[in-house]
Amino acid sequence: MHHHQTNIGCMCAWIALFLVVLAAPVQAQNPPPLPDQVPMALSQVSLTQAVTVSVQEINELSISSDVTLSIATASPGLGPDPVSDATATFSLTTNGSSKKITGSLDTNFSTGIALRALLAAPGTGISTEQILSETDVDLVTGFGQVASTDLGITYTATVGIDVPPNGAGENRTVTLTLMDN
Amino acid sequence: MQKLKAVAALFFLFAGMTSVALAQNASHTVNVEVQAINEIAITGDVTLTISSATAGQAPDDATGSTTYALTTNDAGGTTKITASTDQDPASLGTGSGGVDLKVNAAAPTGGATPGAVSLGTTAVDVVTSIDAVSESGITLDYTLSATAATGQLASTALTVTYTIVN
Repeated sequence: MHHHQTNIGCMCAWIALFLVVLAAPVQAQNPPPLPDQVPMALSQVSLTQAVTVSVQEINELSISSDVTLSIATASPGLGPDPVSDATATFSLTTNGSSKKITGSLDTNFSTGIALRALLAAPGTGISTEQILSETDVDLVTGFGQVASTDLGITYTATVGIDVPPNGAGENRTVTLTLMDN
Repeated sequence: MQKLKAVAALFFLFAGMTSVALAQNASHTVNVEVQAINEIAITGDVTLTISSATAGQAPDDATGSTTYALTTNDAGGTTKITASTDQDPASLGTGSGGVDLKVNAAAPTGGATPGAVSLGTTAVDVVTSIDAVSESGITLDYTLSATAATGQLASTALTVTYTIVN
């Protein structure tokens, strides 16, 4: 009797082991849970991550094209007529505050030639027409945090009657500088 | 000492970076060209009428004035103004000899004038040695003369052309 019970016990053990072996491959085919499913599945778990963001000061300025001003006329008895050109534009982006744009020439024009510049003001800026020279002058002041494209640059050239014809003209580099006010 | 140098180097590095960040440049070329300018204008027309004479003398001259304005940027001092008429005054009139139309053009500052000169279809100098100048209100004095032999002349418009010659 005791031997018969032992055999039955062994048989049950083998059947249980067989069932475990059968069940095991089925569990292995299930994919592992995704990371974000862990807290869902385990609702008591939370994850935190520190994200650091920063925005640095940005100041970008560009000018569209070169300009030629040709003085060729006058009213009799008066000096040569001034010539203006408004084809050039500038674009800028700044996320800073209290900015200004200055302008200067690489070299002064010959005596008697004056070049004035008037820039369209970005945002709340204030424009002032100025004669350009080797010394920086403020052209636009009091603006900030603005991104604008194709803002007009109006140049006006005036010459005195004592300025003789100058052939192909005088080239000067105009430099605009975006800087703190 | 080495640490101090390293700190100083970092300071200047960041100082330079800050400067770059705060100022942004952009540049382009602007060309200013001055061409030769020569402009002249006459302010008004003039009417000259000969209608009197002292007995025994030639008819009295008729005079009239106007002004001209001039702008030239030729600084060579060789610029001049010439004048000519579209018709020859010497051929006018019912008689012979015609009339004599003279102009005395004052010179702008720095220029020279030959005084009164007779006008004809061939251009003559009326102002010379002009330097770069812009001036207005410069006098043009006309004088019309005739002789008894000229006969009579119906109202005739003559066009006087002034030319700036460099």
